Amino acid sequence: MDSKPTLSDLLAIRDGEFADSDRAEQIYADPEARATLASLTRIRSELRALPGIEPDPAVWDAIQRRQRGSWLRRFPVATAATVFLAAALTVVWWNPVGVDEQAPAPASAGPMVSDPVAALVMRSQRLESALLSPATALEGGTSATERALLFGIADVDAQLSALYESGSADPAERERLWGLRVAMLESLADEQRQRAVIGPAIY
Amino acid sequence: MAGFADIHLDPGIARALLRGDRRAQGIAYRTLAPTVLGMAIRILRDEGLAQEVLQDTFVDLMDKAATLRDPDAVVGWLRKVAANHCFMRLRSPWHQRRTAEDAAPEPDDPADSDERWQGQCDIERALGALAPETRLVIWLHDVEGYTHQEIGQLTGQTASYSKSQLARGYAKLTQMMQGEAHGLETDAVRPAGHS
Repeated sequence: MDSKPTLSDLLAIRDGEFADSDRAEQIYADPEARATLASLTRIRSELRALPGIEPDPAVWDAIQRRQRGSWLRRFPVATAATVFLAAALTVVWWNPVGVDEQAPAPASAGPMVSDPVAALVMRSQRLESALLSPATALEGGTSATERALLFGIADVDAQLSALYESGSADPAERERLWGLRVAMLESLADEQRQRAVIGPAIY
Repeated sequence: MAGFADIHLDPGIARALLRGDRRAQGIAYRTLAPTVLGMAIRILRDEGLAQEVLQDTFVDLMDKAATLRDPDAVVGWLRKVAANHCFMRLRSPWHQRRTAEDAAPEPDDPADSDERWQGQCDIERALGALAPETRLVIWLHDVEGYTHQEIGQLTGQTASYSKSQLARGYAKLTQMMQGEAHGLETDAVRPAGHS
């Protein structure tokens, strides 16, 4: 007389993974085993019927922040260079200050510097270059304040990208965002200077 | 409607996703996030950890989508990444300690079980009573269609380990869902130490 099937046997039969077809037939002939098989199949169907779970809308915002932050950390120079190039091209193309193209440029300052946005872009680039310099690299990773500033800068970068992508010609908004970026970079530089003097905090 | 196999991501959206298109990222998230979160919550039984898995999975998708060549592979790739993140959390010492301290209710403790999982359907409650790695195996095998070999690779174990976990889990699930599975030889699923 054959022994009763194990649960592993029945699961293998249910999943089409049971190799011994003669033995499978014997098991099928047993009403008790068939009932258990039906039960295993029903449980699997119930598991598969469980609905997905809608996430909190805030999770998507957090993902976007993290993604922008990780991009900035991996490609900070590229971020700055791309936005700088976009700004420079826009300044040249849009000519926001209404510079007469026929008029000679002032000897003391080029058109980029005479525009407040361009001046902020250049200041931002200089600060970023200084922050990325190996001479300013600190041991001990980044502090919570630095991380917050980096995320903030990434947010501003995203807003700037969106502004340029939209083709918006709002100089006040550009100046505000570039000003914000410069302020955060200066704060970041201050934070790093303080850490260089005090030494890394113990977390 | 719990598994990734039921999800259809428009090919145009998948192609745009591989190009890093932000709108496509948003659409892919809306399409896939409920399934990722559903899987993570059912395996981890911890909403905070499940949300971490959701975040990590989609950050990975956005970071690495450009490296995927086949738009049709996006959903399968995402499923694999999400399963990996779930497993990594199950394996973390922090989670193991927490699980030990906050053990799931045993099937023979209906009062605790009712209080803890009140409002959830039977199968959800029964699944929650299993050991975390057993839940992982059952979910990946039965809902996501992983083979025992694939589960073995993910968990660093053998296919036999996966089969054993599946049988162990079903022994409990059938008990909880219907009472004892009458007359079965359960040697293959009997917990160690029992005679």
